[in-house]
Amino acid sequence: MGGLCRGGGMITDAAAAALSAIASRTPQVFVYVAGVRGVPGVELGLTLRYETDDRLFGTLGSPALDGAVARDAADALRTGEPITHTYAADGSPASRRAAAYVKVFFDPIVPTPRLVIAGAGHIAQPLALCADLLEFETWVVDDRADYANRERFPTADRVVVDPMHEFFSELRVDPATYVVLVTRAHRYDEESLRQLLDTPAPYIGMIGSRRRVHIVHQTLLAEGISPDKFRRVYAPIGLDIGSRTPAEIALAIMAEIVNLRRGGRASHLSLEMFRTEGDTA
Amino acid sequence: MEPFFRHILERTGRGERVVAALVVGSRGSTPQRIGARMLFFQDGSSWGTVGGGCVESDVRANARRTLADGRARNIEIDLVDDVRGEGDVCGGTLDVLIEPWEASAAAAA
Repeated sequence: MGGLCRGGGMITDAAAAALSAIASRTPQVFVYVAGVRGVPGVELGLTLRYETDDRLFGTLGSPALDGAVARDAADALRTGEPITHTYAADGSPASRRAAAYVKVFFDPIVPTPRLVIAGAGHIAQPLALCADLLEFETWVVDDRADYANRERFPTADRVVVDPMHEFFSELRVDPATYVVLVTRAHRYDEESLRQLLDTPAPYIGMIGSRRRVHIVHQTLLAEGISPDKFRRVYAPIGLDIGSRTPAEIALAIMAEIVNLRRGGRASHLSLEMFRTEGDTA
Repeated sequence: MEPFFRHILERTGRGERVVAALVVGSRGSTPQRIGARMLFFQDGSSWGTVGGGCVESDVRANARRTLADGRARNIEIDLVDDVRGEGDVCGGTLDVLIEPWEASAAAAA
């Protein structure tokens, strides 16, 4: 597979591959040789491409090096952060002062995080603004056209007028899709959750009083949805910063999402509630 | 990320060579982030940034060489603190990979 080889002159195929991966939200890592000494056959420049499930395209010429690269590429894909590692010819870590080394730069191409806001009411508006500021691709959905429209959501990437269960049954939810349910009644939460609980969404937040959340929880449990699945739902929503206004609530929700995404240490309100409920059930 | 590859594809599609500069490492108190990137085109224009001032002029000079000869380079830039005016090397160093992108033989034909 010489797809990335400079000698073959096929290098722009890699740019096309990157663009199509970005468009289809397929995470991958571009792997560049950024330095080499005393390892024959290895040249500077883009050399390999890594996709999920340990698929490595291209080679550094030895299984030991390729194995090390695949491991570190998997890490880079998880963190989404570019990083450089230096290896000896056998794939073990090496210093740049070693007689023989390959310095490898990992450049992860990961999907832009996407926030889907269900319910286009008074919380959704500041939430969409806040998400846009934090560079999330922002989608808003509501079945009411007089709520879900451009005038109310000028910064949103997509504003969709659709019944929520239909919208969520068609949405391709990927591991970079965060979902916030700020609907006007618990039945919309329920119909959304039925579609969402089996997706890889890293975050499903649901607004509502403890009573409303409890009703949704009990309704879905009665339908036979396992308590474990419901533990994924963040409700009460948002970090505990004493929010009162819609903008403050939006801030608490985005803070919770950032905390989750970046591995922060703020504690989430929701987990206790469902643990307690699960234990007593 | 998307514009970076789009520019590469556009320019190489016209048969031009494009040179990419990627910050792959840094030591010391450098503000530049690993992963910062910049493109240099044959008409002398550029896209993106790898940091300001003296860093960019060093990178630009090397990118021009790669535009001319098509060879990848890795350079280490000592960051000189211009404010002190003494040429003190106190800003650390920056590792930059400079590499050419070219159209595939098939696309150029």
